[in-house]
Amino acid sequence: MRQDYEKFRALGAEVIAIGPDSPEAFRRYWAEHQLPFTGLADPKHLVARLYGQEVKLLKLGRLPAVVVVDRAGIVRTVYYGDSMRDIPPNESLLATLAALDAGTDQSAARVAPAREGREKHQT
Amino acid sequence: MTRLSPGHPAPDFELEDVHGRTVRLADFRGRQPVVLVFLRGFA
Repeated sequence: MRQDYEKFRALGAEVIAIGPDSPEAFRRYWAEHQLPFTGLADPKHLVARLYGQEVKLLKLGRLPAVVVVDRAGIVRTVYYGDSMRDIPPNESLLATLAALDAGTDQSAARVAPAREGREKHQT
Repeated sequence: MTRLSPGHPAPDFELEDVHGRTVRLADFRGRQPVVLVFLRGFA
């Protein structure tokens, strides 16, 4: 995400990362890696639950998820990973955003699955 | 755990960023699309 952040910015989008770590851990991580996008600590899982991210309490982790929200505040694409490394490629997210800009969303905006044969992404 | 569906309003939320500023999703409405990336945790 860090490498592609400018591409997201070029499409007028803001990138917001939300995670389970403490505010202090977020500050350290963001300072250490000099991340240019917004980072929000959600240690109580409030936003994660609001957005349906699966929280694995026993493993003290969450499965990754990505949600694209358009300018009107409407959810356009949701992607829920089914494993820790299962995240949509940035190219798919960028294509979704480009389609929003072109006004061809709804039908064209679709996050391609990272692997074949899965049905869990929804657009 | 209820998953979101496309076409519905994104639930608003408010959290502090790494600079101590309050970020609300609603602040972006009418201005910018937002990509929300839910991390699995740093560890």
